[in-house]
Amino acid sequence: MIWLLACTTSPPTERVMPERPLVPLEAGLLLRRVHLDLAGTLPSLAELEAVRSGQETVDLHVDALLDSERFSSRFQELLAEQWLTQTDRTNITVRELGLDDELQPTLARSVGTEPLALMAEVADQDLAWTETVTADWTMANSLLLELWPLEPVDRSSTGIDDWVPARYTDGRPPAGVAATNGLWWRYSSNPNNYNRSRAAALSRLLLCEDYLLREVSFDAEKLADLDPLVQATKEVESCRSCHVTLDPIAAAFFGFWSFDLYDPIEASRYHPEREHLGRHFLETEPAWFGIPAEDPGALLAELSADPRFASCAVERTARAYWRRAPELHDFETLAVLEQDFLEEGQSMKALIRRVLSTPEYRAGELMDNATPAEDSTRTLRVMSPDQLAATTEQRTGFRWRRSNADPMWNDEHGLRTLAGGVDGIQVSEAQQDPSLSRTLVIKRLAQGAADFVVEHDTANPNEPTLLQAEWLLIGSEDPSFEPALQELALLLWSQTMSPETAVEYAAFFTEIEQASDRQQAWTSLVAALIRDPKFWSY
Amino acid sequence: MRRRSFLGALGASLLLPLGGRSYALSGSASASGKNRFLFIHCTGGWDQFMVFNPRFDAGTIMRSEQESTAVAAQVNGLPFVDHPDRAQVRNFLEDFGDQAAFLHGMEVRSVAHDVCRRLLLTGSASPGSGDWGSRLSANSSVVAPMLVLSGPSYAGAYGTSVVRMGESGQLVDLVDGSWQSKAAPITQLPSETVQALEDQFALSRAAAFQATALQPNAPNGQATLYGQTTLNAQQRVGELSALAGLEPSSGRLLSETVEQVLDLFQADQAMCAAVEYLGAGGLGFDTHAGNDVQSIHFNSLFTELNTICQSLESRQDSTGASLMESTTVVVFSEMARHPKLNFRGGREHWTYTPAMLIGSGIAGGRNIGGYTDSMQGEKVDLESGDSDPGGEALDPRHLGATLMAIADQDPSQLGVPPISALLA
Repeated sequence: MIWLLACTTSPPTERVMPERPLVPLEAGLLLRRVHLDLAGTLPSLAELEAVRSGQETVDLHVDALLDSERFSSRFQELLAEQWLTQTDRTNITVRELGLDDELQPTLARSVGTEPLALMAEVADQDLAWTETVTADWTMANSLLLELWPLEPVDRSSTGIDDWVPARYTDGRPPAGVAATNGLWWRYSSNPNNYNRSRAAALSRLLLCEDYLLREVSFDAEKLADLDPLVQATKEVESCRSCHVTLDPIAAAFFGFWSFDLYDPIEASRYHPEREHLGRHFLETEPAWFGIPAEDPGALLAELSADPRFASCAVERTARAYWRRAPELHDFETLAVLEQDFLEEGQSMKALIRRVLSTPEYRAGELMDNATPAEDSTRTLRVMSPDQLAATTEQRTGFRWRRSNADPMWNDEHGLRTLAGGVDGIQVSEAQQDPSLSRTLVIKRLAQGAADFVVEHDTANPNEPTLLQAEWLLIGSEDPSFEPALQELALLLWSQTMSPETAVEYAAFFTEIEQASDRQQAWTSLVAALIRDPKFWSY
Repeated sequence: MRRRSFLGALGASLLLPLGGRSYALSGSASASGKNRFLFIHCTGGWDQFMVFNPRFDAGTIMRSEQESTAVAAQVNGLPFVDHPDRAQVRNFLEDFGDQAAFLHGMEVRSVAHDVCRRLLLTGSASPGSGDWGSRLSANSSVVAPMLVLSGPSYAGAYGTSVVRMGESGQLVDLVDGSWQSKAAPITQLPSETVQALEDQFALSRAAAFQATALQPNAPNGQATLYGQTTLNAQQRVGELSALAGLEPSSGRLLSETVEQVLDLFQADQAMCAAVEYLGAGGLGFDTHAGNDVQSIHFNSLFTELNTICQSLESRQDSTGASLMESTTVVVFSEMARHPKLNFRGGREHWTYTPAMLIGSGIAGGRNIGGYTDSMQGEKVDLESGDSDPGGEALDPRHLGATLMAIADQDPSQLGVPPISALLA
């Protein structure tokens, strides 16, 4: 049974985190932050009240959120920003697979999700993180089960959104994400690249060591004369410095090597009979930094024992939740986190819990003695496209669809990069500041959600999504208007309004009512609350 | 006690000396006082031996049979590869070579597409670096400081200046509100009057957010920046209506897409714009096999460039000057291709690549740098532009510094000086 590897967590040695000149967020806003980061949604009024009154701690909610149904999908969203597998296009299209054109976004999304879902499952089941690179299983939905040589482990998938553990049946070795079609369709290799780009991707994603960022002094004289180029990788020093370790890794992946990148059968199946080709084309034995490794399974087992694997997992997790790249002054904190991670059996949930306890994560302000180095601390974050979509849906029931896809995770017809997300190819860094196009997306999202929810709640007074039936009848002069306004602020901002802000909102409501009618005033009020920075920042 | 953090220096018009020249941070070099930049990215890695590098004497270069009729030529001071199948290259150089310059041998220090793109467009491998267009337009107050119609984009720390069009023109759908009826569930937009009131209120809330972020005992650090950028974005979101007529670049000729950009340049509504060019049939320039297709790409590219430059010359900006006098066109690819042909008739990647600059601020007819017999970029005397073993090895930062100098911005942060010989 695959879950036998579950982490045995013993209490770690208590280490002291380095002190930082950062003021933590107020408890209610911290609860909002952990809710958005762990579940992608907003806390309920009851949860807020329990934390604000001191009846419950935020840490208690962190534990609950880590065990919640939403954790896995939210964790996948964070992984997607760094793994860049969720692109709009695949080399193999739905037409080549004999599917309807309208399924292309679903295909691309499913393919890109496979490795992320595997990692999220490892985290969710609290297995050792090494399982992400050694597992003999993957995750699949109904589409992937139909297209690829996969069989479900326990039960079959009931649909596109139902991801279940599955195993490949084509003889591929156990190598976790490195044995998934999803990863290698994204990081494909031209026939004459001989898997080198894949080896470089593995190093970047799993060791945080990027061969491609090494400054290389190209010796043009030698390079121009060598034919074929494979000689250069052996004979030119500047080439050898990378290729001496890169090529042996690439040589282990010839079971995934396709003669034709665009042939669905070639690209979908593992080819055990090609494993030996690395020796021929790359003129090297498959190996992990000098340790022989015949196939991806053996190689990934070595990788999982490499100390850089754990430190990279810590660095990437910190980056995901701190919403910034770790810097030099974070080294001490990362070192403490890494020691805890190793002592806690490489449990991702335990690591996340610890990252969310760091001053960097909980910072709401800088202290007076903060150095300029602290300026990069995210005392405030902006919602990602996924968070924007999930929170507006949570509060209003409104979620866009266009051309058979969710516009917040698609760029061909959607708004993902306009709203600050990554498309995996042209835009590879999530935007962390409020931009012009994001502002426009939020404006239209707010207007759409407000129109939708007011229409709905007017038509369904007994089952309102956001607005109680009696609220819709009153104007800003009514004594119950401000309490209604404050409840809306709590629902959408997780905090109440200052009296001055409440007066401004009331005046705005009146102004709209005078220019139009009461229903429009409620619609514009909800839209304004969503457009307010207190909604989309956290 | 909490620390207050001010970003007052942002946008200030400081004069900083560099190499004996002063750069006004918010100034400009063109006659009209506003320089625009159009970036045309030929995606995939172009073959420098088809146009820019006429080194027929170097034995390292292999050419296909199709290229056997290519000859070295020179027009308007620019040496190039002339070929009967690429007559449009000669036509362009005859018409506009006196306003164009070739920059040779920039080393992008990688042969991986994504890394090369980042390096060529930002000068740095660091993920947080912004591309040249984002940097140049960071302090611009026009509607769309950096308009990305297609192709790669690195906003870095300059995200507030970047406006993305979206692959199928989604930006326009959002601007004119048609998005609400194209996406499901369909929703109704309020009346123009109500929308104006909503926008006004959103602006006041952004201003309040900014004011809070600047107060003592308030969230600071990143929040201060967010306060400022939020207000800035909210102030300008209404002005985006100026972009309502834009059409997406997908499926259109390069010159048709650029015409829209020039409309915006002319109306002072954009400062920089980026467009991707994928060649004939959208096949791209990454020709590991069948490299000869690049001949068709280049002929089409120069046809398009001719049309674009004619339009630039025929249009006038708000001062009455030709748009060509205030627009710098930068044509580039993330890398070049190997001198040898492989067994598929293709070429592998090569790290030394040329770029072409046209128009405002550019010393026309200049051919900067060159290549050794091994096709390595030669070191260059930045003042004369001549190859000089005692000069500097060129990399993308030199291109960026030169563009910043054209915009009268301080390039010292890039750590290299501009190429003076390129500057008019």
